[in-house]
Amino acid sequence: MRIYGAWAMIHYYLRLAMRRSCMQPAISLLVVLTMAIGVAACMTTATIFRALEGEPLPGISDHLSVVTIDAREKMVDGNPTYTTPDSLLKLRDAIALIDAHQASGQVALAQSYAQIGNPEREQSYIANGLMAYGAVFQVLGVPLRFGRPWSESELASHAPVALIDSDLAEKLFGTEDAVGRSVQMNTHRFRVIGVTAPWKPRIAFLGAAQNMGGILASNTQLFIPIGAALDAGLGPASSGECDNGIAAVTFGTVDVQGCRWLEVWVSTTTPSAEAAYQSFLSNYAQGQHDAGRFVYPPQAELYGTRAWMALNHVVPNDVSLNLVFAGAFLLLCMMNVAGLLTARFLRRVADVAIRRALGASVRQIFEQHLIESGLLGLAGGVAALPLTWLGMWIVRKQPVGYAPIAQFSLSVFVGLAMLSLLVGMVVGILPAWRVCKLPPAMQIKES
Amino acid sequence: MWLIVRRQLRRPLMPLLVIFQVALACAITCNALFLLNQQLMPILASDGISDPGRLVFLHNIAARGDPWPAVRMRGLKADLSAVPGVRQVSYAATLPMISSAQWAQDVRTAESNVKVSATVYFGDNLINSLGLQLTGGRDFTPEEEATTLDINIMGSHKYEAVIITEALAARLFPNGRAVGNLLPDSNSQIVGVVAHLIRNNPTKDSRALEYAILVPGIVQQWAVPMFAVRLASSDTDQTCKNMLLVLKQDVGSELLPGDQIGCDSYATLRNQELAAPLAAVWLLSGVTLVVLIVTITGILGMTGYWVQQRTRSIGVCRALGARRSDVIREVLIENAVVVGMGAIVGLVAAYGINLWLMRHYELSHLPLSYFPVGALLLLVLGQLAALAPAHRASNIQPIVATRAI
Repeated sequence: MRIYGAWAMIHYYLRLAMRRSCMQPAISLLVVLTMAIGVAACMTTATIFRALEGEPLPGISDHLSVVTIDAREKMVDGNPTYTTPDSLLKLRDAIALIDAHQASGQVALAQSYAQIGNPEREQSYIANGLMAYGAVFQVLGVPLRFGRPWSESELASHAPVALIDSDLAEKLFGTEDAVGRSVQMNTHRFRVIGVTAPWKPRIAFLGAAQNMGGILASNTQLFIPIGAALDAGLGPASSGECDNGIAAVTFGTVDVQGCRWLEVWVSTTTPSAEAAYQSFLSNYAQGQHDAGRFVYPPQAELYGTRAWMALNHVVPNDVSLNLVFAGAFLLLCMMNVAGLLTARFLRRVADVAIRRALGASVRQIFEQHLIESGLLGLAGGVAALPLTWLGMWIVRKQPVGYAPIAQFSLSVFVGLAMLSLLVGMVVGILPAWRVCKLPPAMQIKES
Repeated sequence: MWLIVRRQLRRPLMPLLVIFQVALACAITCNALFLLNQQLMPILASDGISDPGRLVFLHNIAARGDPWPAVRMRGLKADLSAVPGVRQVSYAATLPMISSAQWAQDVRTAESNVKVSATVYFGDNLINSLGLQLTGGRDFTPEEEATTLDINIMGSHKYEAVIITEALAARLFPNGRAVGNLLPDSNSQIVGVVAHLIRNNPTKDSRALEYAILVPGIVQQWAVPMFAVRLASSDTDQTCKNMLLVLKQDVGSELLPGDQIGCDSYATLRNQELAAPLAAVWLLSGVTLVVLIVTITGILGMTGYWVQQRTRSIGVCRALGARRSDVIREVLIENAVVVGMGAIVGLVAAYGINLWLMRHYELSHLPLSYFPVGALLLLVLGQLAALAPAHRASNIQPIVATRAI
């Protein structure tokens, strides 16, 4: 019975609120619109922020670290300082680190673009590929659909094998199961030993230093072992850093021995394993320094994925900056609405006074006003829906790397509803409290 | 004045809400305007290029294997010059508004241990084809233009003659003439100075937007050669078509597969390169505008409420001899006091936010000039917002004082 009574009261308050809002349509509209703009700005920026924060490879990348060494082999005149850690290594150092097997998983990687074709048919595509040395599928958690990853002996013997993703397999061969087929790259043939599911990290974190302004990765369609790729004349997409200080820029080829163009990623599961790898790495780099190869103090250091991403500004600053701005703007809108509501509630002191005189408790008055502001908040949420859509559209029109992720989704919808209800209630607290604070006798007298 | 403050203190909720609103708006506006100004700088900077509609860049020409030697590029350049409608062709390794190929050089300034980074543009006859305005010294001689630059020479900065911009000259030689001097720490003699030339790699320092160096010659085996073509007419489409045909004839079989060669007028490339800052400018001005509108409606609503609440006392004042202008002045002064307090709080907040942004986002310092501008803007807008309610207050008849509402 009491529960029924409470519901009846809420129902009554809702009807009351509706009626009051209709009595002052201009101010109600202003309140609803102001809340809607604030909520929409917040939702738009929060959606982008959420899509770009966190792990690039969920469950995997937090165990990954990248190796950084000052591996320069020639003194550079003018500017010898090593201001930012450098993740690029020469092939011989990368192979030495991988072959040492000091971490639970390790791989050397370089991005590459290859013209890949089906030898029987006259068609070819440019594939976004990774050249790798080591257990790339285990370390990065790339899921295999068919076939198997390459073996240690295939890696060591430069066997011409490759793995492609199911999309590329479908395009080249008309079937996803392309295991055993041959693909042509340059003038060389590679045997397809496995097909991966379409795979990409959420955020482009591999080769961060070279990937200018790219935040969203594209699918990795091709995995090739480095030895076989170099034999076939395939090179990294970016020439990296070379000894004479100048990148010998050519496409698809690079001075393989003279330049640093590989990143080494290791996976360590415990802090002690990480510390052990760090000391192994320091010893290795110091050994090369002592032998006269690395001319500068090597400053070998492991960087965890997130620290590395932060250091290289993989996710641009304006993503969180915009969120801060939108938050401040929402606060501004809430203050504004709180002011408007206070004015609106205080104009009707007479109604409150009569209700109080007739025996309504302070709590009931408070509830009544809170419900009114909550209702306006919900209406604001409804109005924020098209505004958020508009905000996302504006973001998609911006020439920024993350523009494509500004999409409406179910979670955005739910977040919007929750946020607007919350904003409506919070905004009502001050004005409702202000109304309840007046003693009833004064209220009657004033009116 | 004190009376007004005391009156506000008696019922502090509403004035406090306005003060906080104005403070937040002030803080947001100051920082947004600051960001806006930073984005505007490259758009407003003069790029130095004359008649951009008749300047075409042929770019994204990449060889499949080893890059072409200089002699091939000279041949290609000669063939391109023969295309009808072409007035002059320059070979270039780097060009303004093409950010895919950049070359920067650190130059020591007159201040001790301060180096600035300047963009280097390599190419022959660039002054003429880009249409730069020479304000001191001379253009490069034909012998200098005929130099073949080796990539290793470029690395060690050992070119003989350079032309720099006035902005860079002023930074390197604040007290003297740049022409005739050597570029610091190099053997390169500065033979001329151009009025303006924009750099093609981004910088956050507004002074550095025009730090550029021109080096004459054709770069041996440059991976991404390009051509700056000055046209006789503004019919870029037809001339581009003809030039691409010539290009395909000359080096077509050695090109990287794919149809990626660009032939765009400088105006198009400039629009593409500046699209990002321009979009940011629109967004930031939109945000600022919305923030100000929301604040104004807040002030408007609040002032209207005060006037309504005080109908009776205003009536009494009027009955006791206050003129309508007195009433208007009263409302406006009160508004100014409240908004002013908000602005002061807001400026402190803006400064704090800027300090925090500088720590976390590597933004530069908010110039002090933004503070009075932001405060004044809000004060003026606050007064404008209060005008209508003030006018309504002045219309209150003395008679209302005598009857109950």
